[in-house]
Parts: sequence; C-alpha cells; structure tokens
Amino acid sequence: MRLESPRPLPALFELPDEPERQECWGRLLALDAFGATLLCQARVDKGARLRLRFDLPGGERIERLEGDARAVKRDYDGYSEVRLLWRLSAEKERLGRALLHIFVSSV
Amino acid sequence: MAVIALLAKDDAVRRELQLAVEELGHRAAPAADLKGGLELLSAERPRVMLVAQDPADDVAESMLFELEREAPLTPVVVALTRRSAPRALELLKAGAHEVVSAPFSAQSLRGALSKAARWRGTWYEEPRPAAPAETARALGVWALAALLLFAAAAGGVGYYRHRQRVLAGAIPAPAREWDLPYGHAAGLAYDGTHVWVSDWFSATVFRHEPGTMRVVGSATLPREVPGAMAFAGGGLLVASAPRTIVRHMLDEKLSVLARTDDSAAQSVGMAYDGLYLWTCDAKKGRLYKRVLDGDLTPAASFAYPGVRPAALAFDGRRLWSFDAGTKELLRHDLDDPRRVMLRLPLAEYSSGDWSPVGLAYDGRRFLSAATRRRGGVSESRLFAHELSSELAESLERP
Repeated sequence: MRLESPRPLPALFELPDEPERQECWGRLLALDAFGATLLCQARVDKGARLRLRFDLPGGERIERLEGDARAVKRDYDGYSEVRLLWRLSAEKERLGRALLHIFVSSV
Repeated sequence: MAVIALLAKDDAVRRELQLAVEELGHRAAPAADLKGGLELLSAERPRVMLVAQDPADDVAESMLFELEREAPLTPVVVALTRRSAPRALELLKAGAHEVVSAPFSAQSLRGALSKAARWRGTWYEEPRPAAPAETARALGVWALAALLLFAAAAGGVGYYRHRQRVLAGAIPAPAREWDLPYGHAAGLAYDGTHVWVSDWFSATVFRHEPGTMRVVGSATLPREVPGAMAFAGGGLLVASAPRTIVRHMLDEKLSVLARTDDSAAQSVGMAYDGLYLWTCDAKKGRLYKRVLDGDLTPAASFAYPGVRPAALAFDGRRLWSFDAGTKELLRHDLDDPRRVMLRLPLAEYSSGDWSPVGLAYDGRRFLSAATRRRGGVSESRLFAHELSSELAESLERP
C-alpha cells in the first residue's frame, strides 16, 4: 500500500545515545510500517538510533518510536537523508495499525 | 542570487539575518512588521520569506495565513530566536517550509534558504549533485573499484602468462646486451668482480666492469689462440688452439704457469666446480670431468644430452651448458650430467644470428658471449640473462 501526501510529514527526533544533543526536527519523505526516510538539517550518522515523535494525518500522535539509521546520505544543501528501520516495539505495531487505518479510510 | 524578504521585529536580529543572507549572495529586503512584509510581496517579488520570531510569537503563522491568499507558492522559513523543537514542529505543521534557530549565520541558513529558493510548490525537486564530501567519496570508491579491477585483470593476465611459460617449461628472461669492441669473442668467465672475455683473433683477454661492461683491463697472450676460460686453483685456465690448456697467473700480464696438452679434442667450454674441471667437446658431443692435476686428467666423460655444447658454467650448485643447437641453457646433474634437470630457452638467440661462445654466472644472472658474421665482418656481443625470482629461488635450493 502506498499513499502520497502533498507535504512531507514534520517530525521531531532525539538521539538516545547522545543525550547531550537537543531535540531536532525534520520531515518524513516516506513512511511505512517498517521504516521511514527522514530529511533533516541535523547531522545524523549511519547506525545512529533515533527516537521520533510525529502526528499522523488525522491527528494520531506517534511517540517514542525508535529506529536505526541504516543509510545516510548528505545532499548538496547539507541535509541528511536518513533511511530508518523501526525497532521492534509496541509503538511500531501501533504505527502499522494506524497506517493501515489511514489506507483503508482513503480508498 | 534571489531576493529574500526578511521580516524581523527586532532590529538586531534583522541586521544579523540580513548580513547572513547577503553573505550567501542573496539580496535581503527587510521589513519590521507583517504589513511591511506583505508590501514586499508586490514590490520585491521575493523568492523566499524569512520570518524571525520568538517561539512565543505568532507572526509566522499570520504571515503563512496571509501568504496562503497572496502568494501561496512563496516558501516561508522561520528563524526562531530561541531554540524550541515543539514550536518548530508546530510551525512546520502550520505550513512553514523550514525552521531554523539561533544563532544565525550564513552557514546555518545556507541549506534552508537554498532548498526554499528552489522550491516550486512540490517536494519533488530536480536532482542535485551530492554533497562535495559524498561526491569525493563516491569518486574515490569508483576509482578504487577501477583500480582493483585493473589490478585483478593485470594479475590474472600475468598469472596466465606465467602459467603458460611454466607449462612450456621455460621462463624467458629479459636480456640486456652490450656490443663488444672486438669481433672474435671465444670464451667467457667471471671471477666474482669482473667479466673476462677472450678474443681469439687479437689473442687477448679483456676484463670488463660487470655493470656497464666497459673494458677495464686486458692482457695479450701472444703465443695462444684463446678460447674457453675458467678460474680454477687460483689461476686462469684458458683453452688454446690447437688442443692446449694454459694455466695463467692472475697478474696484470696473465703470466703463463703451465701448458698442458689437451688429451681430449678441442675444448670449447670450460667450468670449474670447486673440485673438478669440466670441459666440453663440440665435435664429439662429450662432456669431460677432469682432475685438476698437471695433466688435467679426465676422470670421466659423458655423452652430451643436448645437440651441440658451446659453453659451460657453474652456478655454485649445478653445472650448466649452452646448447648451440637448441639455443637453450641446460642444467645438469653433477653426478650424472647426462641428466638434464632444467632447460632454459634464450629468446635472444632464437633468430639464429648469434652463435654462443661463452657462458658465466655472476650470482644472479647468466652472462653469455656470442659472435656473428655480417657482411664479412665478425661482431661480438655480451648478453645478460636476468632470471625470474622463482627460478633464482629454485637455484638457491639444494
């Protein structure tokens, strides 16, 4: 299933392994039940663990969703495009159900 | 260069942002309030609206609301004077293109303004080259991959050729060659420091420096027709026609110590293995093993296992002969020289122009002397036959 949004989803994230870093923000260019692609100004290294918070279309809030940065590309503007893979958690299951719900209600 | 509308209530913040924007090569159109900012839309037609505000203010949301009606494709970048991630998220959700936070500098604004200036109302943007570091890394990876591929291909080809040569039983070595200033070379020997060559026509033995092969000394032997030579027993043995072997002192004149009638036929090759003197007879095709006594008594003789022996040499472990018939070096078993342990073809002789007359081993390569006749003139040449590392190692093995 694939849904497209006219505007990438804003998201906040923090790096649990680097508590000295402040909370950052970015946009989710792609989102599915297994992972996401995050575009952000903050520098993210490959292998980093991110904890995300964002609101799905419809208002459902996803919090403390953790993912691992499996691939990171730095674009010409200095932005990091991070391919995230969700870690197993109850929040991941909730995201999967929420996305399915959005898909079902939009078709 | 793009026109950036700059809306900031605070003068200091506005000046700071204006400097940063202009440092990036854009033109800043400043305004102090929302009304002034909206006037810029028609007056300046800005590519990007940069709005500075405290997280507690809502001027950015007001601007977004106005722009929705006036210029919906104008991206708004919000500059928060205090960092606040939750507020940034709110602004992004409200429609801000990007949110940056203090401290402001050209460096911190570059990416956001660059992306906003290229925004055309969709997040699908034309491809841009990767960051310089990424590009360099990618180029490096490709260069490394190409290098590895090239090295692997070269290694494969080299290994294939090596296998072919080994299968063919030969490892031809690149040869260096020197034309000699005399035309009738007849024998070759190496004493550990110099290369000695005899010239039968001038009845002279020449001493050459082994690196450049320049002549560094010579001695004339007026009563001899010198041919094959070998260092043995502290002197120089020279086979002289007809059928004589002459012992010389190693002084400047190569004074004669003794003359011995050669009981065998004319020796064309001579080598000393530390115990026995080995000579070869080209006409009969035989190898002679001689005791180094006054008569150079043959202790044994063997049929030559090649076609026509032309020269002999000793490498410290084995006896070698130059087969003029096959243009090969033959390594012999010292106990029974009829057993050939290795054949080494010499490509520089394959044309048949040159006839080998002498052979020596200088510890890392073979040297050979050869003559040829061209236009009624005889020429002499020295060849150095470098050995492959595998062969050199095999020679070192007992």
